[in-house]
Amino acid sequence: MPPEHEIGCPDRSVLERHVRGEPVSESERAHLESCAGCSARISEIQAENDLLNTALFAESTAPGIGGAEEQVVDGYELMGELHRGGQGVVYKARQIATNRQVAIKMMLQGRLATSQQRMRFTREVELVAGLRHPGIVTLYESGATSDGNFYFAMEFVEGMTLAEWAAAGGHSVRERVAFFAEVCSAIRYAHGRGVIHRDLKPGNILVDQEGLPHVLDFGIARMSAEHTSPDETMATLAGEFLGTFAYAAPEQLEGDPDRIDIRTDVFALGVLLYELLAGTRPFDTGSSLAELITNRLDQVPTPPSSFNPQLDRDLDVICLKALAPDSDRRYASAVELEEDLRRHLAGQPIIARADSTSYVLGRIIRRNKAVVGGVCLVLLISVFSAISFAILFANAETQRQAAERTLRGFQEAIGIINPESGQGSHDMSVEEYIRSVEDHVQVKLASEPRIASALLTTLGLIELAFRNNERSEELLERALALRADAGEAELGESYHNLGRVHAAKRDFPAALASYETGLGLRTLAHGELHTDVAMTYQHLGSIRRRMGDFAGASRDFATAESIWLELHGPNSEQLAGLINNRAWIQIDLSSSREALSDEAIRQAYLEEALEHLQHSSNLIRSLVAANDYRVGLSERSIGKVLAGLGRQEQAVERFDEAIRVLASRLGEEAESVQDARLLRARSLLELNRELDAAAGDVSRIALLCEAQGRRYEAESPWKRAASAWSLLADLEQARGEPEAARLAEAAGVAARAEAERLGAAESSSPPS
Amino acid sequence: MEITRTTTAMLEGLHDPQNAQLWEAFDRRYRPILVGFARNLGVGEVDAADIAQETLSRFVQEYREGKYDRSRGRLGAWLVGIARYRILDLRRKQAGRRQIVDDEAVAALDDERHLTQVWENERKQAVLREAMQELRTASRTDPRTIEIFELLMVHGLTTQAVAEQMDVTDHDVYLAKSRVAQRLRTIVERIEAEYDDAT
Repeated sequence: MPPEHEIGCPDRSVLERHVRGEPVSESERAHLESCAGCSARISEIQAENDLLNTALFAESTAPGIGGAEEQVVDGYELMGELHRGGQGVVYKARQIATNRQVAIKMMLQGRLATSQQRMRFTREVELVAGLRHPGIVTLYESGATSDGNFYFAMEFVEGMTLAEWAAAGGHSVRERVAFFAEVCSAIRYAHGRGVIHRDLKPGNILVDQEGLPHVLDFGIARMSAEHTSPDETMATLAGEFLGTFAYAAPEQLEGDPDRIDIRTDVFALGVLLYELLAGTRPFDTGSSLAELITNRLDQVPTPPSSFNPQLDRDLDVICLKALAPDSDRRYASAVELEEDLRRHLAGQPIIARADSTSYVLGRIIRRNKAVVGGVCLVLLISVFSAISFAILFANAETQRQAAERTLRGFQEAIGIINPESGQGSHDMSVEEYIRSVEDHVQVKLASEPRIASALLTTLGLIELAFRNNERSEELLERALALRADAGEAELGESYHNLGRVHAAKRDFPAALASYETGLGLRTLAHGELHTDVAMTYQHLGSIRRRMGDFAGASRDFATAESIWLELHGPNSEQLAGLINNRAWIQIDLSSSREALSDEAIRQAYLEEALEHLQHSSNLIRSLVAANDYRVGLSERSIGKVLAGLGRQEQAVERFDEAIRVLASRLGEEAESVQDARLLRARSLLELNRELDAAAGDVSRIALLCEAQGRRYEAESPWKRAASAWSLLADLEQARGEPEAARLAEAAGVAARAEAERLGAAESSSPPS
Repeated sequence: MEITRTTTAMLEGLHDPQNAQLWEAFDRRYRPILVGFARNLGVGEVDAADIAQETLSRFVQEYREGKYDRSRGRLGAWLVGIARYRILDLRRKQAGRRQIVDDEAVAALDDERHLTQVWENERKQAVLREAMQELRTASRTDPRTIEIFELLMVHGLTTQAVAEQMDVTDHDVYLAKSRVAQRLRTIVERIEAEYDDAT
């Protein structure tokens, strides 16, 4: 509190004037400058003025939601608010030129409306303004207020909403049905002109004093409820669409704009009719969005007659037909619904018939399949069951062996699901599929550890292919635990697989230990000359290479090579893989300290690598189809080495070939394709050639990677995005576009931060 | 009159897709802040509206998926994080179209402290706006008092002119202004308490 007003101090007016910069006398000014008490009071007044000025400023710069009272619509005199809802405010108004009463609806968001909303608004109004029907509220005109708010003026209907009309009661079932047939007639008229309402609800149907319906907001719902992207769907949910969930058809809830047609309105009419007749809504809305959608898709509503005994069976059938979740099973149009209602009123038989049991069952099965996506779960489970049971119940040893072979074949068949090789994709619901198989293993195969462990191993390998390393490790560990009493071959397999998981997790020492154990067990089981043994040697070599033990790696590769040669001769895929590995040792060596300090040594290593790669490439080409992804990968590797040798022109040719093959097999979004494109752009930068196209390519990849990063919430696409942005920065610099280069740099920083954030989250989250 | 809703209460209620009123309230509270935020970072009027829209959508989505964890940060920070990406995206598209963009605003997107400041400033403005609206429409303040205040502070009349027009003394004019300030302060404090997302 400021000190009390002292004797000799001027009164408040003087202080206020002083603060406002209005003139005060010389003696007063002298006093104010020297008096501590007055100075404190001045501060208080200043604080008060500051608060008021800031508030007034804030008010004057409001971004768009104008107060209703202040709205001015040219040509109209606003006479008060009629209704305020999710989409807008409705005022009663007088059109000055014609002196007629109208209703004006103004979009709540006003100037905050997004560009798309603005566009749709205008488009819709044009469409709806053409509708002239006694059952539809006529739209007169639309426009924007001086401060950018959209509005439209429409016929003013004196009456109440359908909700109020129904609640008022006193209408017989017959009156209700007759009334509703009129509603259908209005909708039918609009449908005939190509306009779908999309947001039918009791609040959008007015009942005038004669008891006739007037449908409101025709087609206006489209601007809020039409979804062009998932983002927008959610926004619509947030802002506007929610209030009408109770009347939304399944296809609307699923957010599929392509499936929205006049039958969407038929569904809403079904809900309205049901509610009007039964006095309650047909569906539980549930407490969450997911629950709501599930209810809408799977629940068959209770016949309305169970709530209102005055209703007969025909009305039940009519309601349920309008409410069929599958739009193909609904009335095809409002006309059909209206006609059945009128037939019912006239005592004639209705056309609609109830769904048959076989149809209902069929629908349930179709839905289950849809959930699993690319993999047909039902089929898989039954195959698993069949094989497991065959093994369990087979008496003769030979039969058992045959069944085991089948199982093994099956394991291999699903074991190759691998997004990178073009089989399977990230989109399929692997998680769900694996969980189901896992449950199956747990329940059905508890007493058959051998089969259970084989299945768990397969699942673990699938998880590994999808890079769910933690889950993979968990499954493989469980498989291993079940193999406590198994032979060396199976134990060896388990350790080998665990080695792969550790390698994927970049825990090289652990991988090394697992592979060494696996190698020992496999050698014990099969002797030296066996595919499995060679495989483990090869993996062991890769790990040693990655740990920098090039001599050890070369030794392991040599051993593996001799086994492959012995088993498969000089032309095998495995051999090609091994030669590739040898090349990579040379590539690694080319960036060793020794090589970096002596260009001749570096070149020599790379030349040797190139030789190996070309050898392996020839081998692969002789073994697989010309557009096999392995051909693409080997072209990419060769390109990389050529680039390292400074032969950029040749490198670009190889990258082009790699991109052609890989993109045709794996699609543009594949990691290997993106990688090849980035390498190609880097070479072009070195050549100072085709920079515009390269920059275009790289920025597209950067955005694509970011989109993937967001979609999968994963670190690696963000990392790729970051390196793409920084390559783009270099390219823009070379093109003489420093501004664009700075932008790319900034984007790179952001992407790197995102990668780090996700990396930290991944490493800190406990394995699930 | 609108029911008072704290941000906490709003967030709890947002899980219920049926609660349209609550969504509207949430939207009404945060959309203008987001628009102002984007405008402040150099985004044009229409784009800013788009950014606000996209940010709210994204938030809804993430919130529904349970990604928003209050223990990890304030709601404001979460929204800023989303909006920042949307703006960055917009910048990239503009860069792709070779539109002229404001360099400083781009740099600012990396400066978290700056972003927080901009957000906080916008939020305060929103609180003040809401308070002013309440003061004018729903508070117990005497309309004459408000009129005096408006003449003095909005229309910029001198104290003397206001006193003459309203037939009061100079002292009454200042008293009226003081009352309005007092009342506004109280309302602001109450609204600020509704933004309880600091926990």
